[in-house]
Amino acid sequence: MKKQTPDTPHAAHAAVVTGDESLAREWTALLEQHDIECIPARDARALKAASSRLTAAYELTVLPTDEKKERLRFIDAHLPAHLPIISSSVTVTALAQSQWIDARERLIGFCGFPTLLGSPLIDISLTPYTTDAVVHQARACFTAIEKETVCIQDRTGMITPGIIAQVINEALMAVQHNVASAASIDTAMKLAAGYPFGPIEWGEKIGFATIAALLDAMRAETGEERFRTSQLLRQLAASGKFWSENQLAPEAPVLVQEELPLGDAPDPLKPVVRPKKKKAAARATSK
Amino acid sequence: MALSIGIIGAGDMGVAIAHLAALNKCTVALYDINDEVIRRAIERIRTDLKKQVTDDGPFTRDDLQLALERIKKRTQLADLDTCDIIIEAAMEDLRVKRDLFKKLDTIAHYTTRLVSTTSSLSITAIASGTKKPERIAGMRFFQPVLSRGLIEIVRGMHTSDETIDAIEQAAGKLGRQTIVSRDTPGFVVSRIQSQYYGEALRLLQDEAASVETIDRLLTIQGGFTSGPFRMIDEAGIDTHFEESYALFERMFTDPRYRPSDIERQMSDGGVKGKKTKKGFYDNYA
Repeated sequence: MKKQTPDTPHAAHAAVVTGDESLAREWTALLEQHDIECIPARDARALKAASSRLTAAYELTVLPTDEKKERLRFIDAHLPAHLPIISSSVTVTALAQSQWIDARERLIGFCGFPTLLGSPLIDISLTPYTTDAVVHQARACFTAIEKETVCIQDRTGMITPGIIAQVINEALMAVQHNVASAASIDTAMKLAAGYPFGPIEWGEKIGFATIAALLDAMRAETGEERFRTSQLLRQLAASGKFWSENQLAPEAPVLVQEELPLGDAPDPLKPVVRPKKKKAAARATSK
Repeated sequence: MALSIGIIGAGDMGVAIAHLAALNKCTVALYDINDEVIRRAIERIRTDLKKQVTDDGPFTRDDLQLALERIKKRTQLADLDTCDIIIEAAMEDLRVKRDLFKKLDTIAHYTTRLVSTTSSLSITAIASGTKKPERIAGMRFFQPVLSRGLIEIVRGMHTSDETIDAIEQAAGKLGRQTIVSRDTPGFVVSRIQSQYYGEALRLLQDEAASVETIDRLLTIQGGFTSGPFRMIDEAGIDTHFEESYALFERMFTDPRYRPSDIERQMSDGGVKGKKTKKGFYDNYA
């Protein structure tokens, strides 16, 4: 976010951006490229000062956490009443989010998801409460940053993220069943099927915990077995790494992960406690 | 010494492999039961080769003439006996392929490697009627064969390391990278692609978005080279439905691989994609 000083002229337009750190940073950079100033969401005074220049608020918390609820409620309480709240609706529908705030008619969902924000095409989803004026305003906001919008059904997973999640999960099932190595699968899907990234490489970019949480949400919404997650995805979501025989070296810490219950993916923002490799290796060598 | 490749079946896949192999200086024995089918196949290769001669392209007219001369017509299986590798690209029918490999096992020289291009059948099952299953493997090419840089080698239950090595070398001579996968339903690419297509078809069934919107989002936003519906239209909706159904059955009807009723309806109704000039899209000339 550009630092404003008393001498810095304000941009003509401003927007509120909040959410997961890396996504919010990416979106802020994109808005600033188009001369739209980004106001920190938690600063009520700054919000008030910029109110005449605000065009929208963007909420980019991917997982349906309490934090997302709090952020939406804060924005709803402090953003001028006529402005749209454009919120990532990949793991929780726009309709469900609209129930968390008072002015539900101004919430509109969009595909705010890792690795997809840079696209010139973006999908939005409406709730039964969304007004035409809000849709019009939201579309104008996307047009201002050179993004074309398409309207899709309001559903968990939206279009692209749900398909990517299924593909990543299937690739991990194939690794788990020893069909081929993770590296081979990534190579195959890029060269034979024209994927932009290998599925496992893509999972690393998005975050396996996010993929697991998205599939859990899709399964919870539809009740469909096809969204069940592979054990390997669970393991990666919890530990961030593949199981390896090396960790069974003498006295090395063995990572034992219990299968997580559905809908209980770990908080990706919490630091992951990793085994202390160096000490373990030193102990093993000294014997 | 040039690699000699026998190709069984002068359909779309056989023709594309013959074209690729001849262009990469392999000698090709193209087999089909019908002489007329092979003649037409070679004409098709000639036409396709001509399109590759451009002012700034890598091939001259002479290169292409030489490539054509490397392709020999064959209507007797026995004529393939001295090939280094025989690539079967016949119809996707286990009984047909099993019988064919049984014959090849008796005809082909003992050093010849026998491979199937099957996308949905088990290599182990195809090799089950032969006496030397260790020389049999899968070799999956992907359409469009000339531009896709990968060959998926499938290791059957009895495939030897020597056979895998030989096929990897052959793929290298065709200018292709390889991966080796285990003989499981759909291998790697079809298995993972089943989710790409399957989920898109379910979204369409639920009216989450239109064909065009789903394809546009996956290509522009997702960065995939081609949208699922355009790809199914290219492959043929009936063909894709049959492959999906075969995968579903081989996965013991696991709901993750359930085929789509949309495809069945379209296939039954004669709407089969590009080949019938009408499919998910109808802008085919």
